[in-house]
Amino acid sequence: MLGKMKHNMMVFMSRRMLSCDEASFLMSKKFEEKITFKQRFRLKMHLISCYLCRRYEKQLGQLNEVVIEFKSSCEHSECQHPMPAEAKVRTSQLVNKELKADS
Amino acid sequence: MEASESHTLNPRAWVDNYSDYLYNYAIVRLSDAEQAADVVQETFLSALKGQKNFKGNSTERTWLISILKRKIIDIYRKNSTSKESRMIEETISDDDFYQSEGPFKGHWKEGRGPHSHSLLPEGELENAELREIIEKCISLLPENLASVFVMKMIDEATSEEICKELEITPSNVWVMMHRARLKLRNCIESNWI
Repeated sequence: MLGKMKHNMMVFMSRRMLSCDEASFLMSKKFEEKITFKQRFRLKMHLISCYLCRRYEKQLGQLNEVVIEFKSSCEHSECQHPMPAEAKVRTSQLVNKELKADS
Repeated sequence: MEASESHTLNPRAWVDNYSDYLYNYAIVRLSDAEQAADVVQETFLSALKGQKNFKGNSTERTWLISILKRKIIDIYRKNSTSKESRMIEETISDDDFYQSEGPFKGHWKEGRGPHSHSLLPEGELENAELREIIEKCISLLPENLASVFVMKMIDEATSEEICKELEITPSNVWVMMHRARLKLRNCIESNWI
């Protein structure tokens, strides 16, 4: 009984293993979209056997955190990039010209 | 600020009051100084022409940002509908990172997978230094990947919104996000090693 279950399991697993490109694509897709049960299962199986993809999965989580931090620091205007002075002058001249033309 | 307060426009002070704010908003999303300056300039000019559309129920800064946003999305759309960008984004395989042939086709190329468990070095990082690297790595992405990545991660747009604005399919979005993450991860890591 157990032997048969194990056999079926092996057949199921070996039907086709994911390659790293497919696995890393699914890891990314998971952030945007629900992936199917079958995809989740195949991804798990791949991760058991592949240390590079285990690292990749961990780092994708870290990448998300880093980007979120970047975003919030920019919103609190810590990452100020003021407009270059000459671009400001040019813009100012154009705006003034338009204003004059209107009045 | 009271909700009932009605706002007015003062175009003479726009450049002094808002150019830095608008420019900062644009450069984070476009990663190109010249393009960012141009789009801010166009925003002011469009705003001048469209003053009658200002209803006074938002601040003038919010109104200007909404015009700028539209212009940035127009640039994104141009990037995403260019012919070459459509051609390369169809598949998840990438010769740069995965083996393109042999028994290990699709598996990580030697040295192209993550080098360690941590994306960043151990210990405290200078925030400014990290920001600089993120900015640099986003700016090194191909334009069309950067657009999708920024819309998703910085502007928190949904996949539906991205598909609609950029006229691409959901599977385009997934593949492009995957490729953007692949390249960004690699770029960030190689800045520490």
